[in-house]
Amino acid sequence: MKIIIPASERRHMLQRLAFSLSIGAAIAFALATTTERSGYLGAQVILSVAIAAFAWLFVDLGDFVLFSHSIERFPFSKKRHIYLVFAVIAAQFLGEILVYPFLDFGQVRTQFKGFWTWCLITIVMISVFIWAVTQNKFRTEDKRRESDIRLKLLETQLEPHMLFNTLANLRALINTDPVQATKMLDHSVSFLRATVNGSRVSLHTLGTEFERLGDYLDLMKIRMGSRLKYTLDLPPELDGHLIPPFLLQPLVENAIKHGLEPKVEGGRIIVSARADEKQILIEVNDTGVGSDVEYIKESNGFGLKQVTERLLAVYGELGKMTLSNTGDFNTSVQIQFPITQRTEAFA
Amino acid sequence: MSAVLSQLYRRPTAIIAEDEQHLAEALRLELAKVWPELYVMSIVNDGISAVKQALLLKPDVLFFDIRMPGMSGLEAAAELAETWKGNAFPSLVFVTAYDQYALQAFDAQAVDYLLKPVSSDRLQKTVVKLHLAGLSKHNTEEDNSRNLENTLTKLGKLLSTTTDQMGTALRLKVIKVNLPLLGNSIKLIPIEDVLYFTATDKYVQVVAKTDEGYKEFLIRTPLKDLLPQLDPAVFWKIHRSTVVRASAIDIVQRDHLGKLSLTLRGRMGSLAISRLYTHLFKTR
Repeated sequence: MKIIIPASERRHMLQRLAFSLSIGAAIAFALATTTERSGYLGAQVILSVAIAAFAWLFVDLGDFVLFSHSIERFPFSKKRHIYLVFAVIAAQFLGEILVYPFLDFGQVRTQFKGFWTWCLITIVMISVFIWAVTQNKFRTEDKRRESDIRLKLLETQLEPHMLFNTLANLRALINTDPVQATKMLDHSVSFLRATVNGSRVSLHTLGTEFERLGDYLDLMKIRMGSRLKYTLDLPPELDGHLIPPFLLQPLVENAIKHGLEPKVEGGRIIVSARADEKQILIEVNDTGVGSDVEYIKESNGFGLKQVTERLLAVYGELGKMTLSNTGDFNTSVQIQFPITQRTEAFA
Repeated sequence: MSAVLSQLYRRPTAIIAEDEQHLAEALRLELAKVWPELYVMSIVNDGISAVKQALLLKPDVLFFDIRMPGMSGLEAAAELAETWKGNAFPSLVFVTAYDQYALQAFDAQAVDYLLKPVSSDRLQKTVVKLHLAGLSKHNTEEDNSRNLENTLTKLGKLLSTTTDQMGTALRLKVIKVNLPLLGNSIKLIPIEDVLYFTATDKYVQVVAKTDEGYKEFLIRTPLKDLLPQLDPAVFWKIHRSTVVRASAIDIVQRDHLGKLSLTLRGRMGSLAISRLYTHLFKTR
C-alpha cells in the first residue's frame, strides 16, 4: 500500500509537529522549574521533546497512514480510539526508554518511577481531547456533507427533464381534462413544497416519506399512464418512525428511470416497510428491465451512492443497503437502519 | 386505406412517436389546429414501433420524442434511415423536454427541434419550416438517394456528438472481465490492448491482445454505456453493435450492393460498416 500525503495535509502535519515539540519543551521547563528536580533541565527537555516527537509520529502520522483511506476517519471508530490511546502510551514509553541510555541513570530514575501515573493522566487527557475534537469536527463535517447531499437531492428532484415534462403534461391536460390537470398540479405542488422543506429538516416521519413518494408516483402515473403501477405498503404502526427526508426517493426514481422507463410495457414498483425490535427494513422492488446487479454496483450511479452516503452519515455502520435481482422482482433494493422514535431527540 | 387516400389527394402525412400519452394527444390536437391538412397516420409510444410504423406507412413527417423506451428517438431515426428504401425520406422533427444535447446540433441536422411544452406559435413556425424544406414528392430517384445519404451522414454525426458527452477525465483505462471459471477472479485488460467491441444479446464481446495472441472476453456493460467512456478519436463506432480501434483498421471494402465492410490487422474475417457511419471513411 502506497501512502500519499496531500500537500495541504503535509503542511498541517508539520505545523502539528512543531506545536507538539514546543509543548514538550514547555512542559520540560515547567517541570524543571517548579519541582525539586530543577537541576536536571537538560535531561528533562530531551525527554519531553522525545516523548512529544513520538507522540506526533504515532498520533498524527500513524493515524493518517492507518485510517485516512478508510471510512472510519469520521466519526472516530472504536478501533481508532484504542489505537490513539495506545499510541500515546507507546510514545511515553519509547521516549523514556530511548532517551534513557543517553542520560545519567540517576537523572531520570525519579522520572521513570512516575511512569504509570503519567500514562494514566495522559490517557485521560487525550481521551477528553479526542472526544471534544470529535464532537466538534464530526458535527461540522457531518453538517457540510448533509448540506451537500441535500443540495444534490434538490438538484435531482428539480431535474429539468422531470420538470418540463410535467409542465408539458399540465399544458396538455388544461384543455382536454381540467380535473386531471388540477390533480396533477396539486401533486406537483405538494411534491415541490416537500422538496424545499425536506432540505431543511434532518429527519421526518416514515408516514411523510411515503406520502411524498405517493405524490411523486401519482405524478409519474399521469405521465406514464398504464405503464406505471405501484404499491406503497407502510404498516400503520411504523408511521411515526423517523427517516432522513427523501432517503427513498432516489431508489424509486432509479426504479422508474432504469427499470420501467426503458421497458415498453412498463411494470410495477412496490415499496414496503417492515420492522423488528431493533431496526426498520425497507424494500424497493420493481418489475422493470432488471439490470444486472453486478453492473449496477459497478456503475455506482449517483442515486445509490447518495443513499449509501446518507445512511452512513446518519446511522454509521448500522445503516445498510443491499441490491439483488433474485425472486419475483427484477431489481430489488433493501435498506435497513436502526429504529428512531419521534420522541427521541436526534440532532 | 386512408393512407392510400391521403397519397391520392396529396395530403401530407405524419407519425408521432411519444411515450407519454397526454403529450402525444396534445401534439396531435395542436397540429390539427395549425396544420389542418396534415393527416396523422399513427401515434406510437416507443422507438421500436416508431421504426416499424414509419417503414410501413412512409409518412412525410416524423415527430420523434428523444427519450422513449425501447429505442431513443435519435436511435430510431438512425435505424430508420439505415433500412429506408424507395421514396423520399421523411422530414424529421425532434421533440424533447429539455435541451440535453445542445439545440444547435439538432437545428443543423434535423428539420426542426421542439422543446416541450410546445406552444402553438412555436409549432406554427415548425410547419412553415417543413413547407420550406419541401414536402412534395416530385423528387427524382436521384434526389431521393442523395437526400437519404445526406440524412444518414447528419444522423451519424449527431449520434456521435451525443455520445461524446463525458470529458476525458472519465475515460476508461482498463476493462474488467469476470472469469467465473477461474473461481470468480477478475481479469484487467488495459484499454490499449482492446481491438474491438461487439454487442451480442446480453453481453458485449471484447477482443483484446493477450500474451497468447488475440482473445475474446465477455463483459456486462452495455455498449451504449461503454461508448461515452471511450476516446472517440481512438475508437470508432462503425455499426449499431460494433466499436473498433481506428488504428487497427486495415482495409475497407465496398461490395457489389454498395455496402461497406472492413478488416482488421492481424484478424481474419470482416466487420460490417453501417450506412450511418460511412462518413468516417470518405476519402475527401
